[in-house]
Amino acid sequence: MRQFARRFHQIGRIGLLFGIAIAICINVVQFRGIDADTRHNYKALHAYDTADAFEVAISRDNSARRWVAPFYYLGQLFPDSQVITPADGIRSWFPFDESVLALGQAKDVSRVPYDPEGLLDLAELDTYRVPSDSFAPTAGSTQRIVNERFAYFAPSEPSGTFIVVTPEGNPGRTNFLAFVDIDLIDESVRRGLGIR
Amino acid sequence: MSEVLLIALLLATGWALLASLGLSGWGVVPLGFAVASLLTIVVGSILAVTGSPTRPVAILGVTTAVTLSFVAVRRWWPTVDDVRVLALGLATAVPLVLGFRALNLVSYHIDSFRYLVASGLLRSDNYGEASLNLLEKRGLSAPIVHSLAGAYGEDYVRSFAPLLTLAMIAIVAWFIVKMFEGIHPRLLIIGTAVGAILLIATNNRMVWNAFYINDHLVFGVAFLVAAGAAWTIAFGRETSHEAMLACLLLALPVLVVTRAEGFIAAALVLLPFATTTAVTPSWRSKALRVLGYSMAVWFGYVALTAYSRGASLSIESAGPALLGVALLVAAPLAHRLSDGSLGRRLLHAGEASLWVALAFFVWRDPDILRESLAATYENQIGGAGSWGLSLVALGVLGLVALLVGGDRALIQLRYPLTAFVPVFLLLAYLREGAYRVGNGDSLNRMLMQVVPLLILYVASAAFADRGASGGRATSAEPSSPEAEQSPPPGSLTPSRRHEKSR
Repeated sequence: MRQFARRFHQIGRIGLLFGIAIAICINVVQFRGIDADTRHNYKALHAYDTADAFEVAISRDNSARRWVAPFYYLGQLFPDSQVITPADGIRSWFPFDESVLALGQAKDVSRVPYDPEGLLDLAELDTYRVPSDSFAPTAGSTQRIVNERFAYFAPSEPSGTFIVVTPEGNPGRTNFLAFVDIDLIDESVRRGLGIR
Repeated sequence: MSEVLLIALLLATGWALLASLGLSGWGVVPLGFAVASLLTIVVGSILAVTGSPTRPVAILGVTTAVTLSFVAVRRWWPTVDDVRVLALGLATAVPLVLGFRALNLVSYHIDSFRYLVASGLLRSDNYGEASLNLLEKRGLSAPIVHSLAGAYGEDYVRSFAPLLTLAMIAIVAWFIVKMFEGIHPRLLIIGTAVGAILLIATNNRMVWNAFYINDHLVFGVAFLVAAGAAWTIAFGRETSHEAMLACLLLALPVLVVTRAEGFIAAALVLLPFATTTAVTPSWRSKALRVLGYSMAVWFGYVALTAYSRGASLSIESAGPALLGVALLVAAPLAHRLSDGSLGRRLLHAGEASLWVALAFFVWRDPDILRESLAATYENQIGGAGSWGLSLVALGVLGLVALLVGGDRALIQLRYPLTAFVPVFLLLAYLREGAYRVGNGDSLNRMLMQVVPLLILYVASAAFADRGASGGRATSAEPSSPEAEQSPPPGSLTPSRRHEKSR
């Protein structure tokens, strides 16, 4: 009985070593096929033209265009900004305040009581809208999604302080949001908000 | 170039820590890189929860200062061989960093950017503004590591994940070689180590994970290092046990702050370590205290943050915090555990209680289990999870290893793996509901965390009852309770070695 057990263990160990070899063969045989059936960002080996994950994702994925890009390009175009939001805050799929501070590289986020839906008529500021093709990739539907989702309004010499306007209500996953330089707002409105 | 300096600093930090604790040879390079990453995460976590500055310069500065102080206290000075090992490490790492940066390989999911949000908050000293979702779901490991890229104006450390993957593969091979050399034919050991390396390196999901911006890799490395170090301390003969203890004590808190299920993984690694009489009681007690403090502090921080923002205390954060306190209270009991059979009964009870808990949840809502198993079948057999049949093959190998491996010798590796099976299913109940079909499913990705340890276990089982036991496990094979107390003549008992090294 003891000999049988020893024999069983010996065979089992040799079987393990063979099993490892077979498992390696399975991996090698299936590797390329798995990648062929998988979306680009789930492929094991997929070389992009850049290793910048932000650029890669924004030029390919609507989720990144909608949820990451508004904050990311704020940081790229206007780092160290002050961002003013309504007293109740802004609700977006990526939590707004932390995303503005982290990806948007904002200096701080302050809260002021105002109505972000009705504060401004953005059509009147259209000449100050920063063209999206000056900062975002033009690949695929990037420009369309970016323009549907967000915009920056700033004069040629930005003040460094932006107020957030959300004409369609809280941005959530798909609604529009705008960062408007406060120099573009009437003095009287600014005074009413207690800004400067 | 700046990333080269960062990686070189990490490598030198880990090298100094491990070499000063008596570890030598090529293993210092991959283990050193992993250990430095773990230490950086521990330091960054302490800075974050205490509201201290968390800019890259602060995290790196404190990490370096801690290392230098440690080395100074030990009055360590490198030998020529130590310097050669460091030179080897740097000569290997520099071209790898440059190469990985040039390859433009990156894997991501929309959640990858949530980790980078947390990174950005750390980089700008704003971690106190992190939402509860960020605290509870993204943890600190990946955010801290990638925040270091802020030192040279980038958003994440591009070569970190592929380098850590290479280190992880080398660590698996190192454990195999270190534990069995001198006991089995050298060629057989090297062949098995190469097999283990290839088993990871040819696995499609593990390669994908090597470029993924997420925390699965850090979790997998911490899980592997903790279990491997515990195993080496309990049964190894040739390795610096103090260096291994440092690895274990750093990996435990990193598991806790990496993912929500991390504290369970840490507990499962620690249970066989804390209940074996092969390890001196003071070391067992130390490890229990480290896990207790880690859980109490991190989950206490999350719970208090939630409370201060008007949210009610949740069981997900308050529960583990209280468990951490309970561990601190229980830690001194490790000194009283002198009976190996009691330890084994505790292990069985721990594993059984997880299955009982799962049975309770299934009784309440069987649909979640049914849907989860169906989705997992599609992911692993149907190909939807992008694993091919690799996990099926590994699962079969794991079962064979269970049958032929000496369980006493491999308990430190086996227990966290088998006890994690019910945990995976329990998580479906405790977190997001049933698992789903697709390669983005959380279980499908979490499995990457256990693969390195599973491969180490399978490869080691090929040698098991003679190999690891060269010191103790061989003699412990098979069943006598007192076997743990009686190593073969001429070999030091682990506890004696610990006493000497203190």
